[in-house]
Amino acid sequence: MASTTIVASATTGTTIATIAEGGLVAISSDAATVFVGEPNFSMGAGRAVWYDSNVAPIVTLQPMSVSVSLGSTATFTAAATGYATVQWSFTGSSTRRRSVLGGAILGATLPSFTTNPTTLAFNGNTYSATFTSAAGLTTTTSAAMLTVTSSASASGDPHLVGFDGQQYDFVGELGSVYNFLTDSEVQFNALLGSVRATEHLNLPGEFITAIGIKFRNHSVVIDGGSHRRAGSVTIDHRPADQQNHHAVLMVDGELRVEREVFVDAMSGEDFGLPDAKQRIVGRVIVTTPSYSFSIFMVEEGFDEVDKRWITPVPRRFLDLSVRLERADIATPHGVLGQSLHAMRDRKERGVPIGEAGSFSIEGRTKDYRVGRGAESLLGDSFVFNRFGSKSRK
Amino acid sequence: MFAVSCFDPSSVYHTFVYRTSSPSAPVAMIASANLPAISADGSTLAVASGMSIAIYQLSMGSYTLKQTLAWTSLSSTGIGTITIAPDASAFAVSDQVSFTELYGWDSSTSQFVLAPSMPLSVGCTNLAASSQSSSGATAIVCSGFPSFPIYSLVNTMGSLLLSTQATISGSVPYAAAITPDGPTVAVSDGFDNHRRFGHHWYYDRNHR
Repeated sequence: MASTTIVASATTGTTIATIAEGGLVAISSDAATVFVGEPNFSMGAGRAVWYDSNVAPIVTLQPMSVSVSLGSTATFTAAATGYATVQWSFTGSSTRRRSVLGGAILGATLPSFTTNPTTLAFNGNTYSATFTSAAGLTTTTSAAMLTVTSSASASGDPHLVGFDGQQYDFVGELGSVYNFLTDSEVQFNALLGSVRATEHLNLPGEFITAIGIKFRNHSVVIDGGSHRRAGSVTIDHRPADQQNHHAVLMVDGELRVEREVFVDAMSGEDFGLPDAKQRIVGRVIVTTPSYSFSIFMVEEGFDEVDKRWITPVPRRFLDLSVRLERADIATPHGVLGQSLHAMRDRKERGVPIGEAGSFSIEGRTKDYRVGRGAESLLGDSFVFNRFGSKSRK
Repeated sequence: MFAVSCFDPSSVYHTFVYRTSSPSAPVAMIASANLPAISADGSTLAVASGMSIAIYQLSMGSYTLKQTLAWTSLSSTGIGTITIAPDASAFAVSDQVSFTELYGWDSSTSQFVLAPSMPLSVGCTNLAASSQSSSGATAIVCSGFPSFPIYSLVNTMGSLLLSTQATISGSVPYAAAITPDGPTVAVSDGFDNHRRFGHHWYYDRNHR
């Protein structure tokens, strides 16, 4: 049972202050100080606490920033001495309008506060607790940030899922490079190609067959391979050979490139080919302060009759996942980057994330086209280019 | 001045009175007396002695027994708690279980007199009293069950009038305090070890 002490008017019974601890009590003649001997204090244990209304509460535990996955709850905890009440507040930023949302959270009046199951609208909100003494003096904790981890992905031919959890349709021209994400420091381009199914038949649809990433003055190119050759990684225009199953290929400041080699069989979409199965044979992880890119090297071609993988592997392509690493990322552009814009757009309009929104990718397909062929993977000559710009938007 | 009680090897309680400015040695001892309550200036001391309340007054540096008041025969348990107003205008006593009695000072007889309609059918785990206001009222707060009633005992030339001026709700009232001039109370609820001392434990015993 929670123990509490109430300071009240003796005439009307009206509560003046509530102290979240109980036990033996004494009150000073001016009612400014209340002594509470906590449970067991009289038994030689516990502790005595003075609540002095002439002194502002003192924060003894600042809330910690929390990162949770989408849909989970987040809990913030603070503590203070000498307080009568506590109230949690939040602040949410509105990037587009440069305005500040937020205010007191109804019912959040305990030292520990748990959010509702998070949506992406929670991302970047900050939370603080204001402790108020019996005399009305207040102390507010530092603000703790809530990061709701979110990722966008492209898989198969390719199916796009944005940062807002929505599926997007995007059909580009075979053999062309398109920009998937661009901001002032990061550029992420993908080459759409066909994947050979047999010697005489290409797999229907277009797949990501190569990816070019630029971070500041560095470049990383991931080639998904073909039916004749395995995938490869090139960093700053030099091949990054790998001998081990896991290798850190490069660390330079805030850029980190790793590669893992493994085999992880999975059942994939069969693309109309009953025998088709997929397996992931490796992953390249490119980490920047704002985004983490996981590029999966995928092979397809399991012979169900002979129960073996067809060699040489007939089909190779890339799947990818991009995870936000910060809550305060300025709105990027690009086919996937636009979905972050969509997420914030819905947040500002009050449309619950996960429900159908009216957002669509800005512009036309050709506005995202960087160029033709693998030589354009690191290019930036397209309409929505943001790379290297001084503007954060 | 403050007073405490402690028991000897024979488990008999004795009360000791100390001067706050020199607490290294008691200034007085009352034998076979428990649950002391003392006025702010130390001039009046109330203690439990068996099933009676003994009133002592300080005279010429020593405490002299002035009055003995019998605890209500309705109570099946002993005296549980006593409080006295800082100005000794009133005192209250309870068995902490079922009954409470309030007394006011009658200056004409220099005696405490029982308020009308006593005992109250409420047990107070803890009691606290204010001094008498200019209107003659003494506020007494009781950590009762299941609330904290605040009584007003108005003393007009020894004629006592009791009313309940406010009630603070609680779930497991445990302790109470009041400022000497009476406008503010602090009441504590939900003490975790309450069952060892308070109403639930006695309640079970009485209704077994």
